[in-house]
Amino acid sequence: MVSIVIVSHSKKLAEGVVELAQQMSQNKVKIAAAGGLDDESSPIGTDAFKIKEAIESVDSEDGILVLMDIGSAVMNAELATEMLPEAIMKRVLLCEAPLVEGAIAAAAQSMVGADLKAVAKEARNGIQGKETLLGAPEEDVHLDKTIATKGREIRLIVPNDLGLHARPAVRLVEITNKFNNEVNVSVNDKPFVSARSISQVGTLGAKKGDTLIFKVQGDDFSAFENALKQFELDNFGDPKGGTIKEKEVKEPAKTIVNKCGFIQGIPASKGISIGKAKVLKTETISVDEEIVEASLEELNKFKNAVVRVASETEEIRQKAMGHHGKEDAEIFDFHLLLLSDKEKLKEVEQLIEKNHFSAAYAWFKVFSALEAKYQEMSDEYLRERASDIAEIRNKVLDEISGAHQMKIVLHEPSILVVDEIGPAQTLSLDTDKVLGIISKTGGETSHATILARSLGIPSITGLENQIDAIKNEDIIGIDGSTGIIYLEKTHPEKINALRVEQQAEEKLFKERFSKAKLPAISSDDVEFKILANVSSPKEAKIAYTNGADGIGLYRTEFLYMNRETPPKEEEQYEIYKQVCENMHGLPVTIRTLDVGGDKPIPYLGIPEESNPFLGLRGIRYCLQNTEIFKTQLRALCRISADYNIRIMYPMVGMLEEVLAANTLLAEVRYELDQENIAYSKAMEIGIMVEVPSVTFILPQLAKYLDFLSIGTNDLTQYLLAMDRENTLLSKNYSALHPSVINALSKIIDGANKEGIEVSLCGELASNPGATALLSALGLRKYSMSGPVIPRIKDAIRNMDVSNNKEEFKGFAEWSTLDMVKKAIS
Amino acid sequence: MVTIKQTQLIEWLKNITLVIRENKDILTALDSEIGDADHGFNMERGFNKVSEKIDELSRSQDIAMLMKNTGMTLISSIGGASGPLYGTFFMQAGAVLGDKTEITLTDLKNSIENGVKGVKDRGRASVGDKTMIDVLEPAVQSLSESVGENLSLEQALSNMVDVAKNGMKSTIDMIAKKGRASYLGERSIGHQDAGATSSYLILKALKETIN
Repeated sequence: MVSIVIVSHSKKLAEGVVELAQQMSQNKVKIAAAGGLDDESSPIGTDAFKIKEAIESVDSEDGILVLMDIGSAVMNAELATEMLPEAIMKRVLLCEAPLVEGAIAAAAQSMVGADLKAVAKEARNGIQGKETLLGAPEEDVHLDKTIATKGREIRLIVPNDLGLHARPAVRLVEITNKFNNEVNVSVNDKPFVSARSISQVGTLGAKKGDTLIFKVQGDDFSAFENALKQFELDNFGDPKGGTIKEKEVKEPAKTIVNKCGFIQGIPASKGISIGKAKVLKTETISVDEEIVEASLEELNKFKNAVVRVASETEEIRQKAMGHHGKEDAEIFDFHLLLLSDKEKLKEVEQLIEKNHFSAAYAWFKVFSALEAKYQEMSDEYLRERASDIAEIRNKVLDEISGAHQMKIVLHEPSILVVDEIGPAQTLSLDTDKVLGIISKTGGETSHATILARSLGIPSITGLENQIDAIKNEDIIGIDGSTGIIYLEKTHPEKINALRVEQQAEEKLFKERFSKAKLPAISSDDVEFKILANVSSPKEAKIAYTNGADGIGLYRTEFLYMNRETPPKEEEQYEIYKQVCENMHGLPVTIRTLDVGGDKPIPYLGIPEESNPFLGLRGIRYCLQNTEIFKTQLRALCRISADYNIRIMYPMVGMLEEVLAANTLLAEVRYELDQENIAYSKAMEIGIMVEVPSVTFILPQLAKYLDFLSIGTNDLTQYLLAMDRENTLLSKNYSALHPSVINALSKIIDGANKEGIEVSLCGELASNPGATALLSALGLRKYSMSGPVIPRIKDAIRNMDVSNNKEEFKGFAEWSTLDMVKKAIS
Repeated sequence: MVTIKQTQLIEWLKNITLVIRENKDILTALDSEIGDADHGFNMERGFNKVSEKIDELSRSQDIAMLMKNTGMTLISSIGGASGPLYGTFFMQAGAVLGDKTEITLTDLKNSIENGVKGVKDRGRASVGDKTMIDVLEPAVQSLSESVGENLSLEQALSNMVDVAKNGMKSTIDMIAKKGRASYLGERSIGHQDAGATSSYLILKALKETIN
């Protein structure tokens, strides 16, 4: 194929023209840009060496057509040609054709395999389309009106919705050129034009239903006629049925929507929300600028990520080829081209090397700019490619970050529609803008879900491929307590009903909220403490306004996420202080770093484990990495001097761990003494009860501890040996299993017997049905997401503990999950 | 003095840079009246690059290489049409000098003649088109005559610059036929051509370096 070189004073213009031309040639023709100067302050100009390089970079046996703008571009192109080795020089043709029109026409003609002369001729004719449209002066129109109307005739009705637009036009020329005929074509009484020429065929502007009239002279008449008929049958290569946009074609609609027409997911966080769906594939991801000195590492990270995504994409492409045919697979060709775009990759590499940007930010910056460029295109087909670019951008970002750690930025209040959302992402959401979160994968107790609850964001998860039914900008209504999603376009009446319900809910919420700060005392005068689970000062504030009697669980691991190094003592101190300040003197229980499992933090260097939930998690990690642990303990001790805090070790499974952790704490305290830094000797120490083994050594543990806090999520996961993140199991994963209830009872009794405090900080605490049951088991302290507190306090005020004990006295005999559910409903 | 040494030509290049810097605003002003107002800037950018690389250029093995390397530097740094034109001038000027490290008046004449020929081929301009050729062509003529009359190098250079100056002035009354100014047609009359001016400055710098 003939290659093309675009020379312009402006780098942007040259690259833009290449982009346009490549669009036409479907990236099959080698086209290079030689624009501008390498002078940042004044980049306008042409450079003969650049042009020479560009020509060499696309050198082709079939020839190289050089198109240029004006003045020095012409002279430098000549100079560049003279500098080429003779063999190449001979096949270079400098062409006076108009730059943009010429490039597009040349690309299309080259693609169909024309020779250098023919391509140049097409380039010169490139202007004809515009002339026809704008009606150039009669004498200037180059169209040969006397062009033969002789020959045998074939008539063809344009079958596809979009008419003879760019791609079908290219295909038509391709087909024509396969046969040894002179073919002219016309539509709507327009002058006949050569069907071999893309620029001329493009001027026809044939719409759906128009009749194309071909006049054919030559030997291959019937073969050509058959090919045309096939082309018509193929709907001119466009997808059949409906005005289908490219984007929708690539997602074969295999959506399983509930028979009743609504979408049913797993309820994750309560609340009703109605709003615009924001499908998180487009522009909603953002990465903050980050400077990383270890450029080489970042560079490797970046390169590996691109390689991985490319091989993944290649795999998908192969599959698509098998399942959906060439049309679908072509989309992945474009993805692969993006991933191998040397210039873009180079740009990213330079940002990493020269500006010391993190791999994620450099990649994000370059590809977001590219996406924006495509979004501004006037051609619809090109505009739609923007979402492909975003997809590739996000895939690579995913690979670079290892986990889902990109920040999501919404510009207007919307319901977020995501495949999967990470805990850190959830936490970074602007709560004023996120009306709800619905996700393809995830379960009731994945950390993102839990966080959504503590932020009071209605959320539904586990939608699987039903999620494809929701398109960007659709108005949808979601009910987080039932897991049902309605689309306004199909169920306007349901959306209205949800609105009414939402208002009622709001009213009830206001009522409860007004009493939230009052103590929770049952009708038979038993007082309960309702505490909050939080991960940040922001959530502590929310918890306080919702009437939390303190913080029962402050998850500090989020302080360690989304960064390159662990937080320093001073930074930790400030954040802990903010949380305490936000609680206005109420007690705050701070859990030490609980890393591992589903909360990977790359820089902590936890090796890949075949079973991370049973691996180096929580206190196990901290005891092996004492420097990080002691830094945290030091910050905590210092806080204890001025605030009412308690510390809690996570994932304790044996006494040895408590002893080792306490030894480190003693060391920290000794060091503080030496430095004359104040701390409270009375600070209480407790553990999370989540490893089942603890149940059997409560008396031994109690000697060294002040309190226990039951984490029902992990306790359930370990008791039932059931991965809580595994959506295939999410149906059976429940803290209400008889085995879990009995374990809870044993722990609560044991703690009461040993005289140490016990509370419960798992998700079970926020289930109002379970509140009564837990009260019957003797639990008086619950910790939950802040926004749930008013509701639970309300429930407690309306219950009678002695009645509950009576009602649930047979709990030990419950045998199945269904029985428990029935009993508490 | 009978010959010009390579070191003197290096001095010439340095002096061109100084002269162009001094006259940058004048060149730009001339160009802004009938062109695209970038000539002063482009020329300065080009010769700044030459001056930046002067040590490297000085290590050229002979005058031909010195001229060629200078030309290449200008091509990739000037940016406007003067890039390929002056680039060609220097490259072609060097092309006829073999491996000489000092040149006579005849060599100089041959060299500049060949350079100007390159410029004419590149820009397809002739005398009267209101371009640098209006300075360069008479300059070559003058050198030719000086060789014929066996004049001294100093005298020849001095004559050349006088003729060049007249050539530059002559562009004021011309209608531009080439470049951006040609779009203006008759309106280009009354303005001195910027390219002719820079050519004059370059030749003048040569005279001032040698004499």
